[in-house]
Amino acid sequence: MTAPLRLVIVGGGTAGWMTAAAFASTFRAEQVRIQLIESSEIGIVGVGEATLPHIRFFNRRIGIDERELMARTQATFKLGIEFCDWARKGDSYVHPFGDFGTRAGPVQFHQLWVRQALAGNARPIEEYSLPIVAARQNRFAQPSENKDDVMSTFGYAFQFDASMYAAYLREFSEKRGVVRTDGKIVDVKLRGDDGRVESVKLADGTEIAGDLFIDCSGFRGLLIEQSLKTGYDEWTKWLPCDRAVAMPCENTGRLTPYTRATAREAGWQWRIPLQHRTGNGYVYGSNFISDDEAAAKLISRLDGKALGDPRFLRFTAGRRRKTWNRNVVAIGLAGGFLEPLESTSIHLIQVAITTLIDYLTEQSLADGGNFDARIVEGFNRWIEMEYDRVRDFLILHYHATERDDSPIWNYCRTMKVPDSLTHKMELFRHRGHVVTYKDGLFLEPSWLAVYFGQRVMPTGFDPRASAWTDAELAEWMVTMHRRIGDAVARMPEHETFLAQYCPAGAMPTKPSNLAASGPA
Amino acid sequence: MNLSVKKVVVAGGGTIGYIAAAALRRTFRHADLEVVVVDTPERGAPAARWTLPSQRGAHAQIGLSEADFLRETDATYRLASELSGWQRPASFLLAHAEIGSPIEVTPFYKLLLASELRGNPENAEMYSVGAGAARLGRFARPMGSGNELTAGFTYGYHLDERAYARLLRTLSAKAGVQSIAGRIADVGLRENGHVDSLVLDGGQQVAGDLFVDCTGAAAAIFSRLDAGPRVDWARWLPCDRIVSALIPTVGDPPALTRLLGTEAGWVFHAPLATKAFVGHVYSSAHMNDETALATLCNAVRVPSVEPEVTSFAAGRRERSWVGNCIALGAAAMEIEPLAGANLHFAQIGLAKLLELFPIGGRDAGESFEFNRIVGEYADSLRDFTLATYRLSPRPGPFWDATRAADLPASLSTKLDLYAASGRIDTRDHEIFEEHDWAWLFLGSGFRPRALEWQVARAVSGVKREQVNQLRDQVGRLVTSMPRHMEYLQRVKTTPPRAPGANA
Repeated sequence: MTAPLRLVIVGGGTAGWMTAAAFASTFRAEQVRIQLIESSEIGIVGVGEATLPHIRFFNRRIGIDERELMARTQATFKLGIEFCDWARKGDSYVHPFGDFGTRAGPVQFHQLWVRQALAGNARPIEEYSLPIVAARQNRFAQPSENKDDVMSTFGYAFQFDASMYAAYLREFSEKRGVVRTDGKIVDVKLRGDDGRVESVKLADGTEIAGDLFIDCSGFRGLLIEQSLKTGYDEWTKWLPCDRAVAMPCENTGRLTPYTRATAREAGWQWRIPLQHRTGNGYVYGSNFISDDEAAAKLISRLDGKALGDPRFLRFTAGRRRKTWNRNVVAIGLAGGFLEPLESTSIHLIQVAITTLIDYLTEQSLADGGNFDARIVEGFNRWIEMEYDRVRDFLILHYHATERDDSPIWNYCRTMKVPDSLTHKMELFRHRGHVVTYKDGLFLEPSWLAVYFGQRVMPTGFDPRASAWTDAELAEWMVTMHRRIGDAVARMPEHETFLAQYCPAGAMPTKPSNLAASGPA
Repeated sequence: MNLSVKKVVVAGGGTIGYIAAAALRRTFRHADLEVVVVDTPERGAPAARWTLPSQRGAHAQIGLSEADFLRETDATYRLASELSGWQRPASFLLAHAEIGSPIEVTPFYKLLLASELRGNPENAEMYSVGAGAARLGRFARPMGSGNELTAGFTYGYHLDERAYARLLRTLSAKAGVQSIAGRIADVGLRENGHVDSLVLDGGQQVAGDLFVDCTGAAAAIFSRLDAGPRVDWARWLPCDRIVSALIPTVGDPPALTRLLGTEAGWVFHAPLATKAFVGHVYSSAHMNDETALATLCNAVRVPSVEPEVTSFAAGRRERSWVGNCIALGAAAMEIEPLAGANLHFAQIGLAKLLELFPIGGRDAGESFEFNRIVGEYADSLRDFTLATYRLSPRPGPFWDATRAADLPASLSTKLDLYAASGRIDTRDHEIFEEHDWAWLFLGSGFRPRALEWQVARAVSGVKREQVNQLRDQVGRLVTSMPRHMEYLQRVKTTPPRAPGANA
């Protein structure tokens, strides 16, 4: 029997506790001994967080009960993100967690829609997306498993309070044997021969040694950067926002099953509805607005009464050159930062954690952290791909705009974007063709939502979409439209569903059978 | 709707040319796209070939029933390739099949790897209905969708290439494709470098808006264009010649292609219904033609054959869509048929062409996208073929030569990751899937140093009795299947179903 791998997680917060929870639920204590160091002196960045549907796989994988999690974190359901004022002031579109229409043989639905749109007789494309129609009516129900049911054409995620999420995961992890140490790291000791991290030293003199260190220390990257000097690729020339100010407010009106991102004079504002309050923030470029002005703008644009003082954050868009370097893996802000425009922060944490666990071999656990370089390279390649693909998608939001009312939009509209993105946009404009990939986030419907939503309208379409007559096509569209409308009309109000499923403060007693019942 | 392309000229009267012509015409029939085939003799086309399962999809697309196809092309089913002389001992299969059924989300082959790492030799074929049937000369089409054993395999074909081309020509004509016989003497260009017309031997000009070069390695159109560089693969794949022949069939052949390693390449034996297609793919730098022929005769146990000898140069064009010309098949890429994916590769190009068919005067990145994706597929075929050699320990000058050059990064990263963890990662555009690589790795005795920890845990929960039960169940299923040739005969004599329905 070999000694357990000593895993040391540096930093609490969302990244740290997600890592702890995932490792604790995957490995037995005699395989991995997990220690998490966080300092109660250092605040965590956790603001209101919106997630992506993939988090449900994470929950299922590590054994988190969805209803319990939602009740404990004041969570609401999320069917997508509403984007306001991005291409032009007054515009609104939703990036949904689901499909637009149904494809006809080799021809994608949106090609048929473009054909109608160019002929001037199409309904708005969002009326063919069930999650958007539901979101616009503040309705929610869980999707059906039956592939023939239009209720199977969407997924959902959550909006929750990130500090409550971290607290929940802490409890979950500690129950499973994770040892938490409260302390501030004052020194990092590297091994002489290979430069690996040997131990970290706390302010009270305690030394904590480890085989594998997970750097969740936030943007500064205590281990990955300050100790190992790994390097960082900056993407600020494409993603110029470098600050955010956050400020929650009281709820007013109905709880929306979606997050909102509104383009502003120097960036954009988020609005995340939770059960007990609404999370708000302004993400901005410090070259375009001062901190005070940004905070003042945010406060003037809240739905309800402000709660607490504004909190400021600073960051640089980009990615650490190696997510895994020697025996340190950087997860969360330590690994890279992409603004939360598409709610990718928690997702990128999740990807790093699950990929790391997937790539660890029996032998790397047994060998005291003597990791095979080929595995480290494979892992880094994968994470790099995930970040790069999200990056191009985010840049599209800034670039595909007609706004010329403020310097940041003038800059983004006219900037040179990566060639890979230029090519994608060109093909879409010309013929509605979406360049897709097998792995990585944001599949075809996501690209479609942003293209159409931001007025990147094709001038042509796939000629295979012309095989039907106008009348046949019109009839097919009417049928699809009706199916979606009818299904949504049977869905309950979001708030009604929440109240039954996961009311905050009340622990669910028995598993409800709501989960299994979609509308007939 | 009006297409900006009114007329497509397809050069080449072989299989690929007529598949492309029929598919183009059928896809754009609503726009009355005119499709003309310049039926020019294809140099280097084989007398027969073996295909991947995707051929079935291609037939559905052009409305060809399986019964008609089997009757007309002397075809047989193909469940696997059998490689002997590549590894010791005996032989191994590359089957178009899953290995076992997944353990929740963990592929079953990982359990076999775990067992091998503990020192117990395993044989993946025992856990696959497709592989078992291939070995025992059995066949039935997969059935029971969702059943991981009876639906866990698929199949391709062995077919008579010339009969297939004739059948496709007839189908194309029915679909409204015109055909002009002739040899291409020249290509007329417009000022912008686009092709205006093909000039035939007698002086006849065939004009069009879009040109598809299906003339094989000769690349009758592309060779006359300034079409950019060709990437040479000879440093990895030294074979450059094929001697082949049709011979009488013996007995009741199983639904598999035999591929036997030789001193300087490999011999193939592909059974058709009434004959067999045999050949020797070899490196002329390591063996002369006479020895290659003698080796072939000896391997397939015939005293002599009427051989056809062809040369090829492994490699691909960097760009196979240039201006208004698209190259499909060997005009775009040449590679030895070890993996049986040559026709499949041509059809990937065709599918991409249909998807990106020009709609306006301007190329808005269609050709770039086509070249990017088709290039990745081509490289994936190169990698799989190369890996088959690279994993062979066979000694000798030829085999040493296949192992001499540094691997392309796309392959070395794949082999490295597997060697370290048993993990098989595939990228965006690859012809072969995880289970294809698993057959190759397991069959080649390529064992990882360790397994992913999660996988090791998942498979350790499986009891040996469950595994034995699975093996027994596979065995029973296989022996309950009809003989391959008997099944084939039954399908061929089935009366046609209602029009439009596929067999």
